[in-house]
Amino acid sequence: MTQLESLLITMTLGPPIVRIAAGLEKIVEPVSCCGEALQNFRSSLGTASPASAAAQIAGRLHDMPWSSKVAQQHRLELWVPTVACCLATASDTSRGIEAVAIGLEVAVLLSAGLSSSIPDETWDADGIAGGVAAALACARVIGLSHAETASTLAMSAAQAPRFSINAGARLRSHLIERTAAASLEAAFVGRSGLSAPNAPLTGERGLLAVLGSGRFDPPDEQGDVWLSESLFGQLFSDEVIGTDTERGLL
Amino acid sequence: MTAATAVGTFGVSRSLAEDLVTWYRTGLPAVVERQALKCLLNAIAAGVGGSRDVSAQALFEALRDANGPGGAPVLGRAERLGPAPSGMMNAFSVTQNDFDDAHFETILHPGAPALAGLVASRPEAPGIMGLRAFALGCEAQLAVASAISPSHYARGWHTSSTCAAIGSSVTHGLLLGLDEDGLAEAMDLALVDAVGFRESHGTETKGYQVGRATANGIAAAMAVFSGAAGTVPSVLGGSDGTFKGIADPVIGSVRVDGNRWHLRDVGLKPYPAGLVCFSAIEAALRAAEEIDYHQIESVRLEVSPLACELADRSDPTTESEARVSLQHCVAAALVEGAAGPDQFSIRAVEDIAITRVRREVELAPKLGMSNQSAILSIRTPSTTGTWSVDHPLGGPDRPLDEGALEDKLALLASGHLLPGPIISSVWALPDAKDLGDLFAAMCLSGSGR
Repeated sequence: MTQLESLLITMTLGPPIVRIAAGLEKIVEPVSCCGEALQNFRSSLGTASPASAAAQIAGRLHDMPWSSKVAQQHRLELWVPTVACCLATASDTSRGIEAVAIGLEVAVLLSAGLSSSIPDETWDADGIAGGVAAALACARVIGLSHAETASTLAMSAAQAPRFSINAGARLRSHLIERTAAASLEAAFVGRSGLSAPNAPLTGERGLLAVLGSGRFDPPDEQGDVWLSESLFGQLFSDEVIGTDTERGLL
Repeated sequence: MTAATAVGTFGVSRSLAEDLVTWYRTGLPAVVERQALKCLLNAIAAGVGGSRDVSAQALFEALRDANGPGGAPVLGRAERLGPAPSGMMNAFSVTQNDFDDAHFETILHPGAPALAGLVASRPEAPGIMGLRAFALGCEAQLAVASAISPSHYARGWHTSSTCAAIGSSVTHGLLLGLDEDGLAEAMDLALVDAVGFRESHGTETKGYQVGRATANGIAAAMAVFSGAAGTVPSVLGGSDGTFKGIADPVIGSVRVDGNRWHLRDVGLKPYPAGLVCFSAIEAALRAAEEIDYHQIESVRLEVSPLACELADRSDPTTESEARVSLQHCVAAALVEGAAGPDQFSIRAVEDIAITRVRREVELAPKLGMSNQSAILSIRTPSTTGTWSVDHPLGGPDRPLDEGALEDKLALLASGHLLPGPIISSVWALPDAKDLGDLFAAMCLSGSGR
């Protein structure tokens, strides 16, 4: 297993990711608000299976009354699957929030690295990263071991490649739902103990090599700052999502 | 204008869908229909056998926990799942033990996704329509795989996973009654996520990725049928389409126009192993009839460079690795004079005698050699013998006959399902009023032990 796979599997909320606490504080509080509203929605789903719940939550998040500008800026494919998977499976709020925070960080890190490696006219880096991140976040929520999380990473990487297409709102919503459900399934399958390759991302015929140059250039700030802070800080502020969430889901 | 741009201009999925819907409505040539029946029986045999694997049990529990129960049958089980999860489960079962089918030219295994697309359908369809949908699900995969090979596989993609999305969407979509436009959209929607890398070979993730693509295809057909996905842009070979990203430009059209039926070139596996191992296994089985493995001093195996690339595993530690290990295939056949499921069990992987011979096997890639060929040279204290195979059993030139397929099913269903009802319902499918008997026979509920 290479450094990248290890980093994604073992990412924690403490060192070596410096300044994590400060960044997390800014993210978790608004996510918590969002989570409370969505948990109510989750309850309204009744006996829906976890995968179905994840898909429905993802669809609702996508269909919320975002302005198109906000939706575009805030890259729904990157974060909605993670939030949906965690809310569909978390029974412990603090664990769910921690998993969301880590999932978002994984998503931003992966998307940034992929963007430097794969042709964006062919591949949707956010869609790919969002699916892998959601599976890893879900793995965190359901308490998978290191080996099971590694298997989850392999399953999610194998199903992650997403073509860059000109999708309308309905198709986009459908695909986000599909990603959320598939990511959740990948985590559940990861728990089942199926064998998996050691380097699904960085292997000779792994995701990075097959989709692009094989390189992965992490953002310069990686390891020094909480990468998702700048991207999601505004998104998870009350002004943007808190009120919309309550309007849309409660 | 080049041929490649012409394909893009007209859209591969639309023209392919036109062909498929036409054949579905008008019927297949008798010889294709017969081959489809054999492929269907073979896929069911592989799936029933694979459903008993520990990994299949683990996957089933995971899918059940994630999705809950549903109404679609699951091979070899009494429980049911939703259509897409059942598709993943069934495709995994057919694929997992490498005992399914093989198209040598493209290294494609078309039966699993098409069978899964069929089984996820409602049983009310007439048997002949189910058979056509299965056959066309296979043929669509083969047409696309032929167009994107060998560059797709060479780039690291697992062609059987990529094409699984097409196969299941076509079979399931036809049985849902999708027209040309709908079927084209279903294929495109299924392929928005291109699934599966060769990095997964030798692990159970390979079966999972075939299952995922199959599930995507079934879900895509259902979404198009219900209108849930809205308008789907061209993905499969459109002007900004798939081929540009995952394969070299396509030369010529991608059609199912009746001039060539790729399905007739599909081999049905006599051994639970990678297809590039077939000739080596057969050569070793012949050698085992003439020499005592205790006397073996060295083993040299000449095969194609691709065979070496895919199956050079001198020290496999799992069943999955053993099935794609030329060294293990040869050693197990030499030591035990057989190449059935038991020779690829963990017992055989850890067997002392097989391990000793396995370590004696030297691979020699030979440029220009066919993937279907192998030359095995074995030295003992008294002699050196050579055994050559160019057209292995199970390949297109030496297909398994109906009797051998029935024996294969009986072996894989033994102690689990009754083979008789499965065999009779498959051969009777063209005249069956619906798919009910077939579905019942391949699951525990309905036929039982």
